[in-house]
Amino acid sequence: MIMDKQKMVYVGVALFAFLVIVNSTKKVVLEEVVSENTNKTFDNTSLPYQLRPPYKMAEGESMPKTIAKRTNQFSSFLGIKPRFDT
Amino acid sequence: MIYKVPTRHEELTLLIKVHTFKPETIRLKVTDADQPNTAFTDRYKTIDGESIFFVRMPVSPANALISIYNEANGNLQVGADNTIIVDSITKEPLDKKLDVIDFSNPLVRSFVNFATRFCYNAGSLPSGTYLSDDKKFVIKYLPIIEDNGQEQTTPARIDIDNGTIEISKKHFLDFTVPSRKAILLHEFSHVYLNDNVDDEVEADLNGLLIYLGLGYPRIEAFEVFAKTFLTVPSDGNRMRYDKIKSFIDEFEQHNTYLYE
Repeated sequence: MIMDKQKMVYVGVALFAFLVIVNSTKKVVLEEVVSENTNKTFDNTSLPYQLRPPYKMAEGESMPKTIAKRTNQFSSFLGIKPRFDT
Repeated sequence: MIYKVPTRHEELTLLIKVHTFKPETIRLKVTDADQPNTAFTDRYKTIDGESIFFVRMPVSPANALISIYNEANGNLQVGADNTIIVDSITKEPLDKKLDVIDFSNPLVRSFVNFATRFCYNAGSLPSGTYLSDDKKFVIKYLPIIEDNGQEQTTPARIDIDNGTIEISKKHFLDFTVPSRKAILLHEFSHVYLNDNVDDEVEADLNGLLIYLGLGYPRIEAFEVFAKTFLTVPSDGNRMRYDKIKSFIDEFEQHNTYLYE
């Protein structure tokens, strides 16, 4: 009886592992598209939140004071032309 | 051949198994079925016999279009080109290594989120100034980057004083989503992760660590660095490319994760 219980546990674990593997690999039914749509219309409101476009500032809207800066560089303080890294 | 695959904005890896009967140059493109100017990979491989393309997609569209064809014959319909056979397309879980990314740094968390949203939508976003949710990062999406009326060849740059990133829309429209992400992470690293703000190699590797940890394709990283940063052949650029290559190789072999 004890052996049977052990076997049932092993079978259960094996079945679970099998289902995990089967469900993590999904073969796609091949559906051919004749040609790519060259005139795509896209509505980004249907996107999940983590893929929605970021906030676009309005024309003339002032920069927030919360922007992360590395240090208070002298060049900005002195009004020297900005320095860029590419 | 173009196949439509429902990817439902999931994180996944596409496995595209193909075979040819002699060495053929096979082109693979994965694009968004709905959003314009949004590609996830654009690569080629010379195949003789069976081969598998792995396309890592930490970000995916609702439906992906997979174009796969023999470059010698062009993109023909199924049955019209018997030099290439697509055996199967499979979706598998994405392999990520998030433990290598310092998500305890709120700037990293915020920028990764901001950059993901920007890069995925850059193909349809109008020019303008974009702000992260926490208002810490600014991207100026410009038609082109100019200095004194002269167009610059760089696709992106960061103002080291205030952290503002300028992006050339002209360049970004042509880049894949992973390439856009690699570029933005490079710029972010200059100002927010580097010890030496001007060190290009340090910015490459700090940016790559996040990029690779998130599970983005390795091939796109090589491609973008080769095309964007290393266009001029010089000893410095060769050294930079070698460092990038060995960093990616070591990352794959789980040896070294941290740049020193």
